[in-house]
Amino acid sequence: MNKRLSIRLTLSGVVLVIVLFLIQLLAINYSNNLLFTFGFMLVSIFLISFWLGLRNMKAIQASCQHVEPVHAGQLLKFHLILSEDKGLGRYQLQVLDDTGQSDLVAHSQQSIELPQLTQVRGSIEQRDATVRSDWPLGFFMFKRSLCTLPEVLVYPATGGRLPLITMLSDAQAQHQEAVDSLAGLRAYQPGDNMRRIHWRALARNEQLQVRQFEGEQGDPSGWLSWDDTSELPYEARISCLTDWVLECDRQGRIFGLRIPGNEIAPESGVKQRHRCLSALANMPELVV
Amino acid sequence: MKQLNFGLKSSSFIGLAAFQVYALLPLLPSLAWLQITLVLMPFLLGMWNTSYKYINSSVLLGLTLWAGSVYLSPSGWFSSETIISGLLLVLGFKWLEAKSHREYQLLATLSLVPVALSSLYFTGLMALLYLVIGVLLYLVVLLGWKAGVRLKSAFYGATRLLLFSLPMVALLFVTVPRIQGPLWDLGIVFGLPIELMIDQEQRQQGLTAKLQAGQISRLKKSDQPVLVAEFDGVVPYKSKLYWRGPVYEVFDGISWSLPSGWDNRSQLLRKAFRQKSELTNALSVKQELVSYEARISAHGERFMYGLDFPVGRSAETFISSDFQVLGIRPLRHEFNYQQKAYLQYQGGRPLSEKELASYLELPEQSNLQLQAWGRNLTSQWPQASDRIQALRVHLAEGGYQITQTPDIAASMHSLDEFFFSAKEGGVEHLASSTAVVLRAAGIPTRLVAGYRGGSLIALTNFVVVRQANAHVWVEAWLADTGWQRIEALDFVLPPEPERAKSATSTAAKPLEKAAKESPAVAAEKPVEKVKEASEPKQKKSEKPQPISGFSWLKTLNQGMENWILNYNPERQVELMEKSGIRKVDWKSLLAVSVLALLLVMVFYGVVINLRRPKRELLLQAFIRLDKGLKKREWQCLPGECPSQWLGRLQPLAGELYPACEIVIQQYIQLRYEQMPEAEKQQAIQCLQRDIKRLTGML
Repeated sequence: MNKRLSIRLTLSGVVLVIVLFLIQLLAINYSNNLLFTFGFMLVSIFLISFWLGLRNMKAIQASCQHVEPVHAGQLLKFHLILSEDKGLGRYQLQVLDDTGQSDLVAHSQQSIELPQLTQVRGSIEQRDATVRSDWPLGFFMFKRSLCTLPEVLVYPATGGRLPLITMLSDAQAQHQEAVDSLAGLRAYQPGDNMRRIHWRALARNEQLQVRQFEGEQGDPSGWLSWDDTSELPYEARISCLTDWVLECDRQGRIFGLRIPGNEIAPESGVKQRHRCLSALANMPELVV
Repeated sequence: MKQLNFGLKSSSFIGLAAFQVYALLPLLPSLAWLQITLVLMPFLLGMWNTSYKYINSSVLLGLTLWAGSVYLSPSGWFSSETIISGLLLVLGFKWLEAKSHREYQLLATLSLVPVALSSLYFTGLMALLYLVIGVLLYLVVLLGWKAGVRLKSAFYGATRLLLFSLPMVALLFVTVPRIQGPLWDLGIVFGLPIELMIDQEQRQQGLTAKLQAGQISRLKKSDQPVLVAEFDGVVPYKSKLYWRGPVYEVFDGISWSLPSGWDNRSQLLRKAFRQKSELTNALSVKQELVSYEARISAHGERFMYGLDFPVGRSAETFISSDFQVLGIRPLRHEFNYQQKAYLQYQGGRPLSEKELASYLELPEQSNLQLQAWGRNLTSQWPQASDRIQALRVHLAEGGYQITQTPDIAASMHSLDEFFFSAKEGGVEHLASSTAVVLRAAGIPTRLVAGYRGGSLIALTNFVVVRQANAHVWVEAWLADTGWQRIEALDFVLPPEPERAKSATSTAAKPLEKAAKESPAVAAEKPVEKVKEASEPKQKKSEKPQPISGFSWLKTLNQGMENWILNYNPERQVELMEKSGIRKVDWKSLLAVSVLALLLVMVFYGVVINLRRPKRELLLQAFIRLDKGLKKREWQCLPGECPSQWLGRLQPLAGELYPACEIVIQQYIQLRYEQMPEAEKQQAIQCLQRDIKRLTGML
């Protein structure tokens, strides 16, 4: 990450420089020492404001805590933690261009949200989060990078117009809801359905365990297929499939996804949802 | 005050409005009523209605009315009133259209120009106070924009910033090369005809063949340039520059006039100095040779106002018997000439009896008291030089005042009135009185009119001489040395800084060296004697003054006058020379200034960036606790968490354990538990108190 500090004169600073020049001309013209003093006072304050502004920007720590997944058209929010451990208050900080100004109290941390409106699905490349400030007098604008915002994948927009169609994966396929007799418990694995967590077992032995049902081996599963959305335009088909993925995940179903050039085997849980949504987000754009 | 639609806090708005009023108020009385109304209108509209819609039409109407008022006013387009009213009008329109805080910030910055102009309407301490308050208000306005900043805290912040800047201000003030104005003098320096700088309607003839009381004082009110001179090498002190004009010989009791045939070219040429050797041989004392080129404006006479004492030769000019540089023909056009001069001189051709008599002649029925006073000197002091010295002492102690508006009516006894009763008059009253006294004391004397000093164009070797430098002085003839200048003014007014310097250096010279000098030279440098003469005066001032509540103010004002108001290029050079800089010119000054500024910038940077940050109160408390327990080697070990520390202390602390436990538990609670800030601050104070008690028990 490029942490270089950039400094530029603001319009107010430029105007002050011009005014200082005029005052010097007046002082020379009238051979007036008081006007010289007046000009020198303003020059000194101008230079001191430079140092104060520089100190204001020094050694602010920042890290990106997390980013909430979003669909195209939604507001992407980077959660940043700004921290100050040098014992100096930091003032009028503006992180990126579209947030308000805020102060950072000495020896404190501050959580800020960096919202970004997403327009299209796909990945947003990593970039620097910059902070800028014109404290104390607004003559100089100091700008520096705080941290790198991670690469983010924006899921496709939702808004499918077709009802959920789940094509059975094979002859044994059936809805997961039909399974209702508990077969036992097994250790939790990332991606397991949260609804299957056995909370009592957690309270008892402080271990995350999930319930297993009878007949789960070779579980019945369904396919969300690209071909089932053929009546819709290209992007609408992606949106429809996105809707279906979310719906299946909400219902805790085991589902797979078949899209051109990619087939994701049936599974359930958060990982499966992410796999499917990522595959949909990364689908090539329609070339006309 | 209403909340404004652009989200400005009303306190910021009040601050800016106050700053505007502060900047404009002193300027308004100098404007015509229509212009005052035009200037104030946009400000008032902007204050009452922040969402004023008819800005474009208002600007158009305002400008039209302003242009009309300027057209109808006698001052014209380039007068100061027009420029000031135009500037204020622009600021008013900007105020009217400003919507964002950035625009208001710009407006505040632009308002610094009216503040600078307004300060010209004040003098001394008042002007300085006005400017400092102006800067303070400006900073309050800038700091006040920040959301949540109260006017009071903005004021404290501004004061701190201003105080912090003072060392840098002092440094810049002392070191930045001081350029002296006015700026339009630079035009003359760069070759613009002097004619252009002279107001044709108010063209003054300058010095004439007849000198009457009040004439010099009138000339001194004019700023018209007379000549511009470029010196080879360093420009001498201004007070040493005497630009010699007409030499008056005949006094009729009221006015002085030139001798007969003063404009007769053949007569003048016949008596003129023809060769350089003739000139130099005529001088008994000649010091401080300078060389210069002068450009003089046309004035219709022959006077070239060459620098005293001229010894060079130049085409179309000659040096008359009374040491004037005169033109072959009257000056009808701007004219250039080169000359050399000895700034210190004594001498001249021997005078005939007839000439001596004419330089002693006085009208019988005029200024009788003055003549009697002069004759009295003769009886008291047999030596002519002692008589001159006695007059100098009298002038120094007599409490005379020189004014540009003398209030003495022209009469046959006007000099008596000046010398004995009024003691206040023009420089011509002073010089004439001196001349009459010396003539009455038997010393041949003549009056010389011309100019003294000039404006040094800093960073150059140019001096611009203007009518305001008009001056008149006396030349006295001493048999053993010849003509020598008697400058009465220097014994009446406080000496110039450079003169004071020369006085100091002269006084410091070894006595034997002074003894080697001729008596005439000693007379030309009357510093020691005058010092003696002014001793009673000094003693007077040394008397214990009654303690006054405002004596500090007087001292402050005096200090400010010495070190701020009168800090000029000469004083700057003097200061730098004292600081050890061998060659002081604008280049070395600029180098010193840049170097000092860089050093101060680095210093400020270090101070600001390495300023010890405030420690967190809780951390401070912990450090204090740890330090206290360290006395018994119970301190917290590196990497040890407070609960472990407490566990370790249990067997060690014994009876003190309960006290340690209370304090450390409090610390743990404050360190790791969330609680409202106010409550936390209170708890920290409680912890600090308990730590103090515990450490007291150890």
